[in-house]
Amino acid sequence: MESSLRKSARPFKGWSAKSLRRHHDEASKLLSTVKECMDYEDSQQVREIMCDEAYKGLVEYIAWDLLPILGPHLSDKETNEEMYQNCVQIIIRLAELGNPKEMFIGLLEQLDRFLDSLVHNDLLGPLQTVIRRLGLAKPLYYNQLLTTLYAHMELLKVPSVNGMGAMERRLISQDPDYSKVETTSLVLLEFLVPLVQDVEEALVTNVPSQNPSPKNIKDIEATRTEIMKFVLNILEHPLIAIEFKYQDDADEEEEMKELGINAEARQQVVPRQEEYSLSKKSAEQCMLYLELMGCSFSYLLLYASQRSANPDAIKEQLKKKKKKKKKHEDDGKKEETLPVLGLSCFAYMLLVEGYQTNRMPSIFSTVYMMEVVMPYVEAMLRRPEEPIILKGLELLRSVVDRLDEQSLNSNLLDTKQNFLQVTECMVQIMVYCPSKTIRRIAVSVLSPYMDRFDWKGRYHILRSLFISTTHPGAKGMLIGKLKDYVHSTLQSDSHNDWFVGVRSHKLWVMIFKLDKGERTDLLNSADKEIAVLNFLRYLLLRDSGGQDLTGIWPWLGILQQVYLNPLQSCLSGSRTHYTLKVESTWKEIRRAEMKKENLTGILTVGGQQFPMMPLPEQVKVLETAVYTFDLIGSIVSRVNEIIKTYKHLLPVEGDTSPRSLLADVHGAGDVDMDI
Amino acid sequence: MAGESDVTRPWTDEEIASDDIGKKAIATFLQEHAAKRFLRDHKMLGALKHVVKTCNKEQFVKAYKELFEKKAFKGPHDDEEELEEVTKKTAEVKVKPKVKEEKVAEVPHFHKKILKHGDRTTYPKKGDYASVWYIGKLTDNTVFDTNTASGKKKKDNTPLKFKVGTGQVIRGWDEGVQTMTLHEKAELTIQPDWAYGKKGKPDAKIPSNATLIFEVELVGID
Repeated sequence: MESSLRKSARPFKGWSAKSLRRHHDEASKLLSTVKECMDYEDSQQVREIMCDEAYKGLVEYIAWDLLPILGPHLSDKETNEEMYQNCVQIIIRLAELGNPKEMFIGLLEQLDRFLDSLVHNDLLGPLQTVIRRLGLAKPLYYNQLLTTLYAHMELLKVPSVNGMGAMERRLISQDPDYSKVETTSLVLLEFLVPLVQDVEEALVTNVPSQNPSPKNIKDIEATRTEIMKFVLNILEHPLIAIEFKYQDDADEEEEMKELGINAEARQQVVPRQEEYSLSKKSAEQCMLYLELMGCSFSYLLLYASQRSANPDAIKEQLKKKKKKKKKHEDDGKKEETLPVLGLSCFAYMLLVEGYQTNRMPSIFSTVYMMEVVMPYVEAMLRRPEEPIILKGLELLRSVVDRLDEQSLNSNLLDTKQNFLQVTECMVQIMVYCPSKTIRRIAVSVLSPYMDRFDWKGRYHILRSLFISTTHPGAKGMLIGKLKDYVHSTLQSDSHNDWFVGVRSHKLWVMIFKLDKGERTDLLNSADKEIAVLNFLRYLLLRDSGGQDLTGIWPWLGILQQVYLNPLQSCLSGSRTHYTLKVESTWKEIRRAEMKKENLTGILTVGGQQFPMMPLPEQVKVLETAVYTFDLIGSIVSRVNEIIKTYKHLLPVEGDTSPRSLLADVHGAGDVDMDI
Repeated sequence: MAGESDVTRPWTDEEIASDDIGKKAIATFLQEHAAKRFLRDHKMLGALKHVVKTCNKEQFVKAYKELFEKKAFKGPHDDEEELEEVTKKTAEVKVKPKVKEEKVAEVPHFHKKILKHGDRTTYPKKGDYASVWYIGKLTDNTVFDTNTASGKKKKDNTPLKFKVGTGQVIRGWDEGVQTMTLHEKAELTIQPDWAYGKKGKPDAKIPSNATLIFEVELVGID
C-alpha cells in the first residue's frame, strides 16, 4: 500500500502542472490511489507527498479533484485525530497551490456540506488564503463567500434573555448555544482581519505597492461594500440581540434577596465577570473595520432616513426578515439595501457608546440628528428582544439629551410618522415589557422626549396616546404629564392656549370618563381614576381666582354629568360589593376553622390544577381593594368640597381664597402611581 | 460735512463694469455718498445686505453713473430732510418694527468674512444641495472637525453635501451658506445660539456656549 502511492507519485516529481496535462490519465490513476490511502486511513503518506515541494506541480494539477476526497475527513476529529490533522494540513496546501477559482468553489462546496461550526472553522483559513490570492478586485467572489459564511451565522439562534434577572443574564454565557453564537461571530470577525487590511491598504492608506488602476478601484470599492454589508449583518445578527453591558448590581441584589441567596453563595454560583460581554468587543471590532476601510459614517447613519421616504419601507424589511427564504430570492434585485437593525446597532455604537464619533461631521443640527436616528429607534423598539429594546431606548435617550426643551416643531409629528409611533412603542414597552429595568427606562425617556416638542406637539402626542393607551397605570402617568403641562402653562406667560380653554376640553373629554360607565371595574382602573381626580383637584384649586384660567369652571356641569356622578355611583357600588365579599370570606374562614378544614380550595385553569389562594390572603386582597375605594372616595369628596366652596365664592370674592385650600394646590400631585 | 467736490470717482466706467468690482462694493459707496432721496428713487435705501440682494449689478452701475451726472451727493440738507420724514413716519407707524431691527443689529448670530470671492451670482437656494469643504475651529484655534485632505482625520475626502435651508445643519451654516456664492471661500464665525448652544457637543469636544469658526468653501450646488 505504502509503496504504491509513492511509486505512482514518483514519476511526477518535479513536474509542472502544465506538463501534467499531457498525462491526465496517469494523474487520475494516482487520485484513485490517494483515495484508497484515505480509505485505509493512511493519511500521513498523502500528506507527506502533498506537502513535498517536489510535487508542487502535481498538487496544483489535482487539487480540484483532491478536495472532495479529503473534505469529508474533516469531521473525523473525534474519531481519528491524526487523519483530521493531516487533512487540515493538506487542504491548507491545496488552497495555496491550487487554481484559486477552482479552490474557491471547491471550498465553498465543502463549507456547505458541513453545518457543524467546528469543521466550518477549519475551512476558514484555506478560504482566506484563496480569496486573497484572487485579489480584492473580485466583488462577486467576496459576495459569494460572505453570503455563504453569513448563512451559517444565520442558522445559529441567540438564546432569549427576556424576563431573566440580572444574575441569570450573567449566567447565559455558559449556555452552549449562546457561546456558540458568540465564538462564531468572533471567528468570523477574526477571519476578516487580513481582508480589511487589504482594503485599507488599497483604498485608504494608498500603499504604493498596491497602486490600483481606476477600474480596479471601482471593483475594490464594491468589495469594500460587500465586507461592509457583512459587518453590518453581524451587527444585526447576532450582536444587536446580545446584551453588551450586564445590568446593575443593585438589581442583582434585589434578585438575590428574592431568591434568598447571600453574597457568598452568589459568588459561587456566578463568578464576577467583566462588566461588558464579549459581544461588545465584537461590536467594537465591527466599528473598527468600518473605520479602517474608510466607510463613510455619515452615509451609514443617514441611510435609513434618506431611503425610507415611505415609512413602510422599514416595516417591509422587518417583515421580510421573517420570510428569509423569500429574501434570498430577492437578493439579486435589491443589492443595495443595508440591514436596518445592523445600522441601528451601528448608530447605537456611534452615539451611545461614543465609538468613533469623530468620524461624524460636527455640523449637523441636533434636530436633524434626531430625525436621522428615529427610523433606527423605531425598528429597535418594535422588536421583542429585550437587549434590542434596551439599546433602542438608550439610543433615543442619547439624542433626546442633546436637545433643548421645546426644540422640536410639532410639524415633525405630521411629516415623520415615526416620531409619533415611537411614543406608542414606549407606552407598550412600559406596560408589557417583562423587564422592570427596561419598563423604568421607557418611563424615564418618554417624559423628556415629550418635553422636547413645542406646546402643540406635546398636545398632539398626549392626544394620540390617550386614544391608544388602555392600561390604567400608563394612562395615570400620562395624566400626570398633562397636569405638568397645564401647570407650566399657567406659571409662565408663554401665551400658549394648547393646555387651557377650548383645546384642553378635547383632552378632558378623553380622560374624564369611565370606560364602562357605572359598571367599570374601579379596582382595575384605580391608578387612572386617582390621577384624574388629582388633576381635577389641581385644576379647580389653581383656577379658583375667578379669572377662568383653564376653562374648568364653566365645564363643571358637563364634568358632573359625564364623570363625577357615574364615578360616585360606581364607587358606592364597588365598595358595597367588596365589603360584602370581605364579610362572606370571613364567614367562610370561621366555618372552615370550626370544621378544621384546610383553608384553601381548588382552582383549575384550563383543566390544570393551581393552588388556590388561602382564605386569609383573600381577605387581605379584598380589604386592600376596599382601602383603594376609600382613597378614591376621599379624593372625590375633597373635589366636591372644593367645588362647593368656590362655586359659592366665585362670583363675589374669587380673589381671596382660604389658606387651607391653597396649601392643597401643592399637595395636589402628591399621589403618584408606579407603573 | 462732505461737500460735493470731495467725492471723487473711485472706479472708472470700465473698472466698474468688470468682474473685479462686486455689487456690494458699489452699494456701499452709493450708500455712503449719495443723498437719501437719490437712494430712495433707486430703491437703494435700507440695510446694505437687503439692497445688495434686491438689486442686480446693472442697476448699481447705472445708479453709480447717474450719481455723478446728477451730483446727487449727500448734502447738509440731507439730514434735515430725513428728520422731517422720520417725524412724519413716527406719527404714522408705531415704534415696534424699529425696535426689532435694532435687536437684530445688536447680536448678529454669525459673521462672515470672505476669504476668496465666488462667482458672485450663484447662490444656493433653499432645498439645493450644497457641497462644501470645511474646517471647524473653536475660538482657541483647536480644530474639532474638518473634511479637508489636509485635516488631521482622514475621511473619505469627498466634500460634504447637505440640503440647504432645511435644518439639516446648524443654523449658522444654514443661513451662512445661503449668503455665499459658488466657489466662494469664507470664514463663518457662529454664535453659540446658532451652533450647539448651551449643551455643546461633548462627543466632538465642543464645550457649552462655544462660538465656532468655520472656514467653508462652497464647491458645488446641485
